[in-house]
Amino acid sequence: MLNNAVLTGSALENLDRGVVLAAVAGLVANAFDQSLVGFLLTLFATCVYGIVRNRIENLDQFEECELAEFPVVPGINFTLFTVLCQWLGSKELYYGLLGDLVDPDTGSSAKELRQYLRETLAIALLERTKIKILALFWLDRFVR
Amino acid sequence: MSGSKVTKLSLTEAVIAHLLRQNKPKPLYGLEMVRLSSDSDLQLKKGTIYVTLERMEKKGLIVSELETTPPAEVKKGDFYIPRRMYKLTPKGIKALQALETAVAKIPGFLTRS
Repeated sequence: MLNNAVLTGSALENLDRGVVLAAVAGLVANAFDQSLVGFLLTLFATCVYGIVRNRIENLDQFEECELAEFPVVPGINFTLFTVLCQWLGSKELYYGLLGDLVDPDTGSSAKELRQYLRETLAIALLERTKIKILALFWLDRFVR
Repeated sequence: MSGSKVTKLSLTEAVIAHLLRQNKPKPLYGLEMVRLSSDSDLQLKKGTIYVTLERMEKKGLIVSELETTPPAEVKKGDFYIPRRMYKLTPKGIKALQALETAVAKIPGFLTRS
C-alpha cells in the first residue's frame, strides 16, 4: 500500500545513517584499494544523495509561504538565498534573516546587507551540518 | 515515577528562554535577542541563533509568528519585510524553571562567591 510506504522522520534518519555508514565503508575500502576514482565516485554519490534527499524532504515546509509576495530589496537577489533555505528546510532562517534586513544594525547599503546575508547563512550552514553529522552518529546530545 | 518529562535546555537555549521570559509579553525577534545578550559572555551569535530557535520551536519550547505591523523606525517608502517574532510556550517556561531549580540545588553553582 502506498500510504504505508510513506517514511517517517526517524525512518528517514535511519536511512541517512545507513547511507553514511555505507559511504564511509566505501571510502575506506577505496582508500585501501588506492582507487582515487572509486573514492571520488563514492563521495560524489553521497553528496548527490544528501542534496536531493534534503531538498525533497524540506520543500514541503515552504509550501505555505507566509509572505504575501517575494521581498524586493534594491540590489539584492534572493534566489540563491531562498534555494539554500529551502534546501535546509528552515523557515526560521529564511524569515529570520529576511526580517533582520529591516534592522539598522545589519547595514544600510545593499553591499552591507548582502554581506550580512552571506556571513550569517554560511555560519548557519556550518552549524546545521555539524548538528546533522552529530545526529547521524547518535552524538546529538553534544549539541550546545 | 516522576510526572511528565521536562525538556532539558542547552546553554544557548536557556539564554534564549531567559530573554523571552524577561521580556514577556513582548515577543522578540532574532537580532533583538542577539543585541540583548551582547553585554554578557554568553552572547548569542547572529548565524547560529536561528538554528537554535528552529530546534526550540520543534521541541515546542517557543512559538513564532510573522509581525503584522511594521516597527516605528521603518519610514514610508523604506523596504519592509515582516520579522518573525518569538514567544515562550508554557513548556518552555517549565523547562527554564526546571533548569533553575536544578542549578539552585547545587550550593554556590553559577553564583559569584
